[in-house]
Amino acid sequence: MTVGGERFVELYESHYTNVYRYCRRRTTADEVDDAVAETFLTAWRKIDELPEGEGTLPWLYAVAYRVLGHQWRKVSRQERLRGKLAGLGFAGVTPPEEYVVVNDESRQILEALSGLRAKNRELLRLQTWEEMSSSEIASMFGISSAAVQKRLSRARKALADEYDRLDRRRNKAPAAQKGGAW
Amino acid sequence: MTTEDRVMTLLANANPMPESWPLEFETDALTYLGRLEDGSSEMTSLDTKPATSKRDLKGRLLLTMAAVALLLGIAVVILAQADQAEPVATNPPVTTQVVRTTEALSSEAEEALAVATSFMNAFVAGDAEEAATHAIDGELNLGYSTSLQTMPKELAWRGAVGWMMEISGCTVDRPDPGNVWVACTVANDTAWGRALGHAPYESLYRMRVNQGERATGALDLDELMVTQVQAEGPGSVFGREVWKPFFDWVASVHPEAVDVMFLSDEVRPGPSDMTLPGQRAPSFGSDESLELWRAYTEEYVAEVRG
Repeated sequence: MTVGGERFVELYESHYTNVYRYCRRRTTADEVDDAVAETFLTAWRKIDELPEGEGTLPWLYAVAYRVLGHQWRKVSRQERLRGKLAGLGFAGVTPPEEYVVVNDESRQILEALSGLRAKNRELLRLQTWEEMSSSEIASMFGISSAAVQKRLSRARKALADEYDRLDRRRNKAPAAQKGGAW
Repeated sequence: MTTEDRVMTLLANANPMPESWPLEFETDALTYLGRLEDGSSEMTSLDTKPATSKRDLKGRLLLTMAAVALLLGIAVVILAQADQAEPVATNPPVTTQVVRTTEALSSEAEEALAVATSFMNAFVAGDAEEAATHAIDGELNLGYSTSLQTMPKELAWRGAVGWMMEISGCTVDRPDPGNVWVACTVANDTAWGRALGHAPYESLYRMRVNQGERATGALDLDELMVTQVQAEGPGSVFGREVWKPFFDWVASVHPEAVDVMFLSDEVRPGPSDMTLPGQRAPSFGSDESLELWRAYTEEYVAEVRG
């Protein structure tokens, strides 16, 4: 086996589960296998350029992020075209997180998450779901840890605001019905 | 109000695939590697369809062309209807920040528009740090500053002289392969202009947005960033009506300050139609010059207003 081959086997065995979980958290069961395979295919093509040690997994996540981004854009285009042709207008693409819903609370927080900008969404997911540190996220995005912390701080506030906004919207409907009693 | 800690806990609980969930598959790296080395794993799902004959290919090509023509026709009708339904609006007032688009955009163009608008929103708000998160140091001409490093100084200078900016609108400008250009119109309201009774002056910022410019090791992240900015300043009318009168006042009342407040380099940043005598441009690199700009702007405004 070549040196590259050995490196790939080690990479695959060490990180397959992590990459699978990463993709599954962001896309549907139908799409996840393609995304994981595409990620490792890219890793194989760039096996000589792969960072060593702790940098490997963030690198793989970054590749998977890009692969999923292409999937989402493809879905987005298809959805929009369908919407136009049906004369219904474009109501937006259901974010992948929406496909996996545990309960109402989870649904609301995921809905709030889907209201954030893509990069902020990803930063929050990396921190909470992949449990990555600021410096690991920083190495993935090529920005400083301080910049990541600042962005995370803003993203957390935006998420809380969006969550409250959804709360208010949900609570408004019953209140409006009671309005006639005044 | 929900706390940030609370939403982060909720988000962690909403993890669709927690670490505690066992994954029931076995990874066979050697088999997978074998497929990769054979080149049989170009695509994950194996194509089991029979090879296409030339005749089939020709038929498919014709069908594809017909489908494309049909889709184009439908798209034209949709766009025409959209144009009829939503007549082009007149320019919005400068006090509102509006993103204007006149046609359906691709998802990439929409994303580029959002990135460029975020960049401009941060720039006009004077938040250099936030602006820098949406841009890389490319060929940035942000008015008088030429890079993300010098931008904070320009923004501090604008603050000192009461130079307010307001985005009138942003739109996707000239698409070209691999790039999206976004143009934002900005209203410039200066303390000098306000004192003289002039309305805000418009300037234009064209931003090139593209992907993969920020590299992490060998990997280019697929992230849209502003990589080039071309600024067209508020123009010769502003230069004549506001900028030059202020320069002349400084030269007349505080001649000793001219060389501190204005650069005299022949190669100077900034829009050329605001060039002052001697190729001068504002110098805002030092605390001393910034203080002079602040103090003399206040003095000028007070004097003009009588």
